[in-house]
Amino acid sequence: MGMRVRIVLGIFSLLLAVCVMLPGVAMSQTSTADAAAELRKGKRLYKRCVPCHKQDGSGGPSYGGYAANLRDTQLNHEEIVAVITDGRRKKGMPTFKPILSKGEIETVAKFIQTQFKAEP
Amino acid sequence: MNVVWKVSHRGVLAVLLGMTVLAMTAMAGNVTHDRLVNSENEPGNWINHHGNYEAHRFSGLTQINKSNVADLKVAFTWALGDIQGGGTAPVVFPFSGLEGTPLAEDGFLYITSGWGVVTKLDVRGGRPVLMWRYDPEADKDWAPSVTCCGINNRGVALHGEKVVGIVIDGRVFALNKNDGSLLWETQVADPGIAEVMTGAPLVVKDMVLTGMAGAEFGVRGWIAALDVNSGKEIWRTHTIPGPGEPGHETWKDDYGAWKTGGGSTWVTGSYDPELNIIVWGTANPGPDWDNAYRPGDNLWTDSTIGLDADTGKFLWGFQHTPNDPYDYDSIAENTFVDTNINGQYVRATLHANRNGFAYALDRSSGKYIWGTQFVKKLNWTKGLDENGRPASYDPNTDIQTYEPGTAAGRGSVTEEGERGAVEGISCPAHTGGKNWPPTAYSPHTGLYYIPVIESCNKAFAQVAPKNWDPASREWFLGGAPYFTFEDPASGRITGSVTAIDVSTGAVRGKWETKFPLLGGIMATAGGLVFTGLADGGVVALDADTLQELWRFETGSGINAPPMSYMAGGKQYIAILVGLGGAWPQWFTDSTPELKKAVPSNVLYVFSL
Repeated sequence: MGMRVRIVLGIFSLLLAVCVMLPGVAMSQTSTADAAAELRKGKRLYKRCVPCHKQDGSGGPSYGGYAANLRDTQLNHEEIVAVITDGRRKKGMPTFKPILSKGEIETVAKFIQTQFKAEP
Repeated sequence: MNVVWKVSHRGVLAVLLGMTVLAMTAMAGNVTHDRLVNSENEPGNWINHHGNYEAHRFSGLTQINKSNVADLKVAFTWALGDIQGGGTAPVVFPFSGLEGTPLAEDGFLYITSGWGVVTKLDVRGGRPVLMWRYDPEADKDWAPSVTCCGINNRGVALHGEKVVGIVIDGRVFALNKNDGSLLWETQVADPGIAEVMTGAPLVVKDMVLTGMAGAEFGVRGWIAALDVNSGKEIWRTHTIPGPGEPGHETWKDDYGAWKTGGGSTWVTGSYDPELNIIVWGTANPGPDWDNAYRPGDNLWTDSTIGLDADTGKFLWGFQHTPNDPYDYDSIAENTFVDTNINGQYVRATLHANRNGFAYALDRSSGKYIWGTQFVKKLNWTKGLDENGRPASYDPNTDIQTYEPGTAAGRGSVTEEGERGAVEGISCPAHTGGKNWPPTAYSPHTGLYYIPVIESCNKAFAQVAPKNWDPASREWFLGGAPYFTFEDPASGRITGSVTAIDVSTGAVRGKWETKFPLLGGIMATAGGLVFTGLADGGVVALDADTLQELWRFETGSGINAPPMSYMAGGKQYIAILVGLGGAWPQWFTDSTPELKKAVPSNVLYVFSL
């Protein structure tokens, strides 16, 4: 392949890449903003959990009971949602169904997963 | 030169009148020892935290009475604000509430917010006018982080021309009553070792007495007396005896559990000027649920103690729950009643305990007179014996289990940090029974009115680490309680106003409530009993029958006791409205509707 052909192909590839990336950049900016908003909302909702599960999710004993360590939880997203929604009747974990909407429970569950789960 | 003064009779009268007016003016602005001792002589004022030194929380005013209380209306409200939360780790409170009792003197009110801000209102004209507001600028993180049960402040005390207050971060201060300027301030408790302050100070002669909180973090409790004119410490008495002091032998471990054994003193005590004795309640032993950590009876935790007012010397003690595995503080106020009990005249002190029993003791000696179960649900002991000791106490063991299945314990587990093998279900729950919200006594009916919490909880123990250092500023619980309203073993928590006949100790009646009584009670000479409800109602009951006569809905939760005063010839009922404290933080799942309670922080005042 001649030098000229390689240069043309190179420019073409670069243009193609830029064309492909441009919407990606826009999309990425939007999703970053959405994620940040979702994170802020999750953090705000998580305030309800702080008295027992602590700010860093480590839980442990407190005057209100013994809360699970969210940092080493083995539960998946659906299971976390289920526990927040229905509580654990005999473990002292209250149900949040009466005070949080389904969407809010989803948000706080996502916050727990992204911020705490698998953190040392 | 001799000068002959000739004064007419009319002149003498004028001079005498002038002197009298001057004396009265001086008295009005000067809260003396005599006035505090004889506060019943001025029923239009409320100059002692508990109404009088005897902690009756009884108003002698009669203008509002059974015949007209149905016409009671809001006279005015006053928003205190100061609602912000605090703390970082291990405890965070999203907001602060109101637990204070306002003081009233000659048409001026002195009220406090949870952060210790003092507000003086001129209410002589029937509407509030701000005189001054003093903000002690409490640290919003340091102290609340080691506070178990809310950002609380239960009120101020008056002495001479001074207002004496406390701050959650352990300071005691005195203000000029006229302009709110700071006269002195002393750091008395140390949040660095988990000591904080929430109880109103108690002025006795020229001293100001204060207790402290922190038994969930490994403190050793004390009561301190300061010179009210300088803030200099006069005496400090620990509730847990040190080596060589009587009672120290009830801490039988070999690693110094007594040093971090709790027994804090966070509710204002009572004072008997004739016996010159202070009677004060002490809190739970620590760690709360791991009683194997502290074998022995653990004197003087969970006790009523009598101290010499001048020196703080320990005179007597009566322990309600030895080697407590339930967190049954004896912290609540002590109410003095001189009366015939079972045919004998006694100087009694009454106390309604977290453990579900009300007690009458002889306050000159601490000797037991009677004990009565005032809650409906009680499972941890089969009553009390003839000396007032729990009947299920086993004198042959150093680690009490009381009734089987009620106390959490280690079982076979020995490793530090491991969860105990034995869980317990106890009634009352660790909330009580009856918590800090104060009782009232009416000398007219002879009844003792208790704000009751009907509750049960589950708990487990956790082997606590030896040689605990309170400077670590972490929970020192040795386990934890837990309950949900959906679990039949614990269930919903309800409440009542329960009336006890002081002369016999018998329960005379109950007015049941959907939620626990979290605010406290006042009785009046108008034949009424007032209380605030956790879901926002302020109610008046017939003091004889406990029939509801009046109710007003504030739309917020109530966590403070009512009081009464007179201004401009008119009687008022005042109450702080703002649910805070421990309940919204830890216990709302047993009262699910209260989860939606909105904090408010407003003073409500009612009149005809």
